[in-house]
Amino acid sequence: MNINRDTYESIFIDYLDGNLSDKEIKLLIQFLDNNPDLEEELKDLTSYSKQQKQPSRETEPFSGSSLRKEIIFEEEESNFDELCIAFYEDLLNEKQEQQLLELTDTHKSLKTTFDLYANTKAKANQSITYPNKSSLKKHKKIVWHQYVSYAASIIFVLGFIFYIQNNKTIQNQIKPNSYAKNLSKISPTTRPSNNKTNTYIHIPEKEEHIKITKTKHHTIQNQTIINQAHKTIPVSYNQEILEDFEENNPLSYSRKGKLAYSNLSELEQHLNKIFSEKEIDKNINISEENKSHKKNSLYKNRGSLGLFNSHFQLATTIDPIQYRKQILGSQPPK
Amino acid sequence: MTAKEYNISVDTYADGVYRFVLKNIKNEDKAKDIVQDTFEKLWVKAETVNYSKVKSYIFTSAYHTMIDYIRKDKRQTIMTEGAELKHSHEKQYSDLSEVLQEAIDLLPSIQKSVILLRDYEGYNYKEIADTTKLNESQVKVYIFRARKFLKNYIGTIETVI
Repeated sequence: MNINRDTYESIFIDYLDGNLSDKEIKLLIQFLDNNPDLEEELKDLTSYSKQQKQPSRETEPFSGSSLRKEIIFEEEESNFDELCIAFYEDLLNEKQEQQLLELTDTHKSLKTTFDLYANTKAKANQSITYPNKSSLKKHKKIVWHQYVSYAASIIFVLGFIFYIQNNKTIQNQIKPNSYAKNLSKISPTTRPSNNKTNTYIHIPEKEEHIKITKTKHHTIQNQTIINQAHKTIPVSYNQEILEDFEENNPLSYSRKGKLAYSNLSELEQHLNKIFSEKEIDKNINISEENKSHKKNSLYKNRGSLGLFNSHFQLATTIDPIQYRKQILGSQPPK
Repeated sequence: MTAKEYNISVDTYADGVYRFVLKNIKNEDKAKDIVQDTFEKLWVKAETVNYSKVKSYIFTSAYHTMIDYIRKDKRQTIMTEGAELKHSHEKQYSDLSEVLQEAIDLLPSIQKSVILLRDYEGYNYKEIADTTKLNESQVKVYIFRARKFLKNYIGTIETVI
């Protein structure tokens, strides 16, 4: 047992509870000899402890007879203090409380002390609050990388599906070989008889002259089409223009089947199937713009808006050089 | 304990534990740190802490963190148990509650904690004993001494007022 001024309290309590051995009690006595000021404290504790050790300790720490005896015959201040504390700590029963109140009513000095103990009950200052309570709060742990991986997976799957569908669409729309064959089969003998313009383009019969390329028509913006159209459609057909008709030219977008159309309304119907209304308008505008070039020397003899459109549509499917040679002749248009 | 219950605990007990710690150590920044540490510990052990006992957990944790701080801080003035009343009467008081608060500040650390848990939080002796790792007899003795000290202090000041 190590007893000193820091640890003596618990040892006093152990002593009062009867938990010390004889040897430890001797050590305690030696300690008290060296610290006489603490001996008085032990006496106070002993007095308090005696009252705590009445028959019903927890429920009745101060029995009625003891209380009466203490109050009436002794009235020692120390005991009265304990009774007051017990009163305010709610440790007395009703009878004890009543006796104590009667006593304080008859003894003014005791009443003062009793009232002072009433003021020893501290009340928290409710205006003091923790300043940033929200910072203490927690939210469910968001495993953000999981969401990122989910998003990436979804994007990948959607992208893959889109890619597959896109391939199918392109294949369905272009069907290069069959389309090239069909184009090559078109000849003056199969032209519609009521076509007054009678100006169908002669498509090279040799398939090697047909250059089918994949297009990215699904990604082309309308505005791009228009701009490209403005750029490439000028009818002064010459080498420079032909060079614009390259592979992957966005204008290849509408090459499919345009050859068969000989007038604007038919073309418009076809476009109706492909584009939204707004887009159709734009495309029609392109055609109308082309129409203004109809009288251009290049198309003077061919003279048909439909023909022009056909020409336009086929531009990227046909090798420009071969096209010029076979369709327009070796002489560049003037 | 769920995250929702934890957040309810913050709303319910953060102010009380902050007042308790602040009253003990008189240092706002440190009191905030202790409260923050307490709730961090609670959050870490949220899965194992029963929500019905969360108040006890919070105050026990805060109390021991505070005791560690007091022990480390050598500048902290800890009054000994046998300290006599040493106070100046030069200060002006507006009411008894102000005197009482000053008297509580003069209590030894352990008595102050016990009294605050008793009065601020309404803990019974067993709950105080559990929080402070004392036994109930010790708690009763500390409360007795603290009340007596407070009464004497108030009585002395009251005569001045």
